[in-house]
Amino acid sequence: MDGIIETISMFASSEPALYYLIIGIIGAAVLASVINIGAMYVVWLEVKLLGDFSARYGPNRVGGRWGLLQIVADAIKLFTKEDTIPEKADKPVYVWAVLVACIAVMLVAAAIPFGALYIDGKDYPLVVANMDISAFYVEAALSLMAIGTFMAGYGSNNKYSLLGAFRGIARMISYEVPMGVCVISVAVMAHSLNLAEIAQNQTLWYAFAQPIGFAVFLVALITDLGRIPFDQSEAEEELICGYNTEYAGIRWGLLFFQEYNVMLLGSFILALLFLGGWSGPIIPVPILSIISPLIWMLMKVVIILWFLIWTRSALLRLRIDQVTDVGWKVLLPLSIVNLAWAVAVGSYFA
Amino acid sequence: MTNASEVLSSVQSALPGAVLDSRVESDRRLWATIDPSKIEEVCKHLSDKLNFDHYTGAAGVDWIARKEMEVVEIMTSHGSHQVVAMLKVKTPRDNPSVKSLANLYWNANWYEREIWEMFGISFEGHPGLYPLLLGDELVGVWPWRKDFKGYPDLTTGERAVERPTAAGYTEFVISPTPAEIEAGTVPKDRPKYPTFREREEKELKSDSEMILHMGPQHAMLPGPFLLDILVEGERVHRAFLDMGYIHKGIEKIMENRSWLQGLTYTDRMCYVASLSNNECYCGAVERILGLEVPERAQYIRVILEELSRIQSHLIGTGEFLTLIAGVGYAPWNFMIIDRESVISLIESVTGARLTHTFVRFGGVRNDLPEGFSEKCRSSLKYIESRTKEYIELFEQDPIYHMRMEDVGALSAETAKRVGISGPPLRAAGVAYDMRKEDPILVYPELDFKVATGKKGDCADRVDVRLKEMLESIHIIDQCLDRIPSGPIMAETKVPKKIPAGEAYYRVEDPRGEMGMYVISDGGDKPYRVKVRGPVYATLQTLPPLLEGVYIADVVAIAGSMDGCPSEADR
Amino acid sequence: MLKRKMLKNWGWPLKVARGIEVTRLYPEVMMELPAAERGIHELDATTCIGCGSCARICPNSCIEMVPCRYGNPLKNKKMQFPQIDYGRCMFCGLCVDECPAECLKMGKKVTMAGWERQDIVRGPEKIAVKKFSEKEVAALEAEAKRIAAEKAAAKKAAAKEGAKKPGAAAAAGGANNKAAKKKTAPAGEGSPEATEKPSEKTAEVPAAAKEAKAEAKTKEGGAT
Repeated sequence: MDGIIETISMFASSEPALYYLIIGIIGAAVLASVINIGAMYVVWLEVKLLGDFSARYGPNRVGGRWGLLQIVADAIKLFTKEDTIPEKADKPVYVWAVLVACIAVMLVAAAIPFGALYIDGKDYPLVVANMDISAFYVEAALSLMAIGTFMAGYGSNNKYSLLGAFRGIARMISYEVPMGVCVISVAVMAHSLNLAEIAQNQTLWYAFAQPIGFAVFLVALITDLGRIPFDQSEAEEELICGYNTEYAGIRWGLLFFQEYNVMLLGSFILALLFLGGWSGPIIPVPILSIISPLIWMLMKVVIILWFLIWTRSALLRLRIDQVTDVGWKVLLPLSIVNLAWAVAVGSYFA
Repeated sequence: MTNASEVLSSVQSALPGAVLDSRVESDRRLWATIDPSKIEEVCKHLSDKLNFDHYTGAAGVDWIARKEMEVVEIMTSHGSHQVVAMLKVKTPRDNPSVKSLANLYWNANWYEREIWEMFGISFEGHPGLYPLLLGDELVGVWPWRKDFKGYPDLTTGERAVERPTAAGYTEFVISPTPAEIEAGTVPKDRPKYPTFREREEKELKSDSEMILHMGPQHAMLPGPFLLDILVEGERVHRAFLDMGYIHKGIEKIMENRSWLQGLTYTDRMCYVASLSNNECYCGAVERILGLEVPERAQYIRVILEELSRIQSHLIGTGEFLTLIAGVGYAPWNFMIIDRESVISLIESVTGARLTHTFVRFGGVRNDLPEGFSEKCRSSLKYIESRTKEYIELFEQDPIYHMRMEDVGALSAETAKRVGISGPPLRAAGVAYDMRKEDPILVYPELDFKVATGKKGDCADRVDVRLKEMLESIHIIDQCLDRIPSGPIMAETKVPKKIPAGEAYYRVEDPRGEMGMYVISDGGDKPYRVKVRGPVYATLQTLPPLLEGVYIADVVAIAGSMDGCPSEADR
Repeated sequence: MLKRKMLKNWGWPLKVARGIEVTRLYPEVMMELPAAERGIHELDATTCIGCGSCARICPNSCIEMVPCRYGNPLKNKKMQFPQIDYGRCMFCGLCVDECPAECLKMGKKVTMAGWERQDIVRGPEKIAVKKFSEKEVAALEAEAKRIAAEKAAAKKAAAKEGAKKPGAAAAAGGANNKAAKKKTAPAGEGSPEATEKPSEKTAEVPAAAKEAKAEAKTKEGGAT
């Protein structure tokens, strides 16, 4: 053990650039696999919960009674399907759309603290890139995903995809603004834009300190994710599959999967910004005490995911003009009111 | 109240010489043969002076033995009186041509197109005689004529030849074999008119418009019909609708099957509500025979038809909700669970869940099983409480109101003019229900209300359907209280050869007014069966209704009409 | 606006989730079907008379009458029974309604599979739930043969008697021919009866014994 650490530190001092590159690649691989496997289980959660809300079982044959390996089976099926590209599609745009979406998601994931380890009375946030402006960066990077979907819709040479692409852009533009204003109001109260510090500075959860901001951010997040009631760009009944109509096999799988990836990351962001992140009492049991902030964080994320899926089963879908109406006429004024509230009241939350 | 003989005497006195032959079958049925040159005046007189404001349909009949063809126009009224006038117009078989009523009545358009493409009777003055149910290459064969010898088998895959068209697409063409050409079953020249696609593309006015295809294969439609919408951005400028993708030729098939065998084909027209179709056919044949159905059988028929109405409305409404809410929507699942209990009840009586073949000439096939009454009442109590919850849910849901209020609104005047019936008409405020207008079986003795709406938009249509379910539950309760014991089939045996005659029988299908016009020439097979389905008029109404709405509203409107294209195409 | 009134909406999925799943656990648990269910046909080959009404009424021409060994030759002269092509059958039940002997019924079995089209054409051996065993069929055939033999013998005797009488009557005159024939007919009937009675009597006792045995056997067959 000691010998290995010695060789590694020698390597680090002699070739620092290469060392950091290798550490970066390993870190990215670990991050990507953890996020993607997490998103796979978000898909599992959605399918099982939707089954519950429809008086059915959901997957219950693959991987035991709970169908835990059903998603793996789906992924294998998607890999083995035929890869078709429409003849008149814009090939570079068509192919790169999927990659842009995946890259956007990973860029967002790089800056989010996924929890913390509580060692000797201090929280060590688990984050890959601990930026000072991570709240703003994350919100901007989320909108790159919309570019990916727009490329997908545009490059398919299909009327339905085109409509889906336009609707996606309309949605993104109308909802980024309220979301950004809400993030700024949180930052005002927390005196920092670093997500880890925002989470740690919440003596009173901002969900209670800025209730309007919480509600606005929640609605804007649901819209950004493209969940019902706001999923017009993939409205199955009008537009077949929206922007991913012409995709098949693993291309479709990846593109569709990014929606769940973003759902997971969006839930983390919501928990960090408004629900106090990993704050919670420390469990006195020895090993659990180290990872107890992580446990609290994951519990909050699961509750948010459960709420998102519950909303999907409960509400009807809005029309695209109603979506933009709600965004500009309701959410933006409310978010500005919230900003004023945060500025006025924020100094009391040191 | 006007009755048939008064109508006849009024027409005869106002237009002497127009009525060549007449028969008053009962207070509510008038059969008259009209001079072909005076048909327009007769119809104008009927609609202006005598309140016959509902052009129900037209049937073409090929009397090959008499060397003439006949077009039977069916005129009724929207509630002013209950007379149904069947006006026959004869035309020689060599060059059949009849005056078109499409300029007087907007909804005569499609009925005349169908008669033209099936029989070859041309309609003078019709705005656009294009084929409706048949494909473009089948025009000219006049399939429903009695001397039609059959057409090349278009399903043979090996005979299809790929051919690139001028537009850059590939099309598959099947050429007839020399034997078929010699037999004379292939039309040599097709009348020259533009195809459907060409007619559509003529309407494109600028580069920013595009034609979006919502059908024939689309996630939204309950069956295949072609709905193309000309959109600019998200707004629909025009809609085009074409039917015939599920045309099975049932009317012609039934001319080649015996009377009892034909019953199985009526099941399969609208398979969601097959009991009403059975009832229509059996009722028409019973009218020709003059057969009385025993009382217990009448009650059983009414109970099962109302149960069928409940399950049809449940699936119609539930399926429509998934169109605007996505598949995970919770109330849709509850509707299907409710429907399951109703279907099991129907299954315990008839033996099948979907295509029942249950109503027979002179009665029904099986009797109600033991314990049916208790099971039925408990299921219905449960469904009643749940339906009231659905009505409450939609009342308070703001997104539902945003999507459905004032979307696809039909005023009462427009609805009457376009000839639709059933829940869309009742949602517009017109209380027109066949169970009250043309009562059959034991409906006159039962007490029920006709559910109506106010504005005729999508929300009202769904509301009318849910309220109708409650009324049906009330009807079934009354029937279960009053049902007598007794035989379930008439005592006189139905002969294999039905005596010559004709009858027009109407029922209230869950989707509207369904009528069947059955002609018998004394043989063991029907001479002609014409089905007047409710969805035909609904689909005809769809294109003008879709102008100026958003694409998302197209789904809401087309879905809320609850059309079953299989019934329109037959 | 969006938020206040929608609590009822959120209540619905919870309501559904509280209930029991309604998924049918097919194929482990099969559905409960009512008695009136129109499933796969069940033929009683012992009572089928081979009239072919079912084949005539079928709207899709699925039923073909084919020969089969396991029926009753006394009732079913041509020994033909329905063979149903389930690839075409739509389970309408008209064949069941038309059957005059009420031997064709529809049961509750609703599953069937085969690798090729021929596999789902089920002949009378497969759809019969009651049929005779080989021995019973042999016995019934023997019985049928015996009755046929008796009838043939009776006919022969009548022809012989008729041949004797018309010889004298023809000599009597053509005008009396018809009357003579008429006379000979009842006479013919009378004499074969007279001649038959002793043979019948002698034949009757063993025949009766045979019949009793055959009946007992069929009763056994029915019981099993």
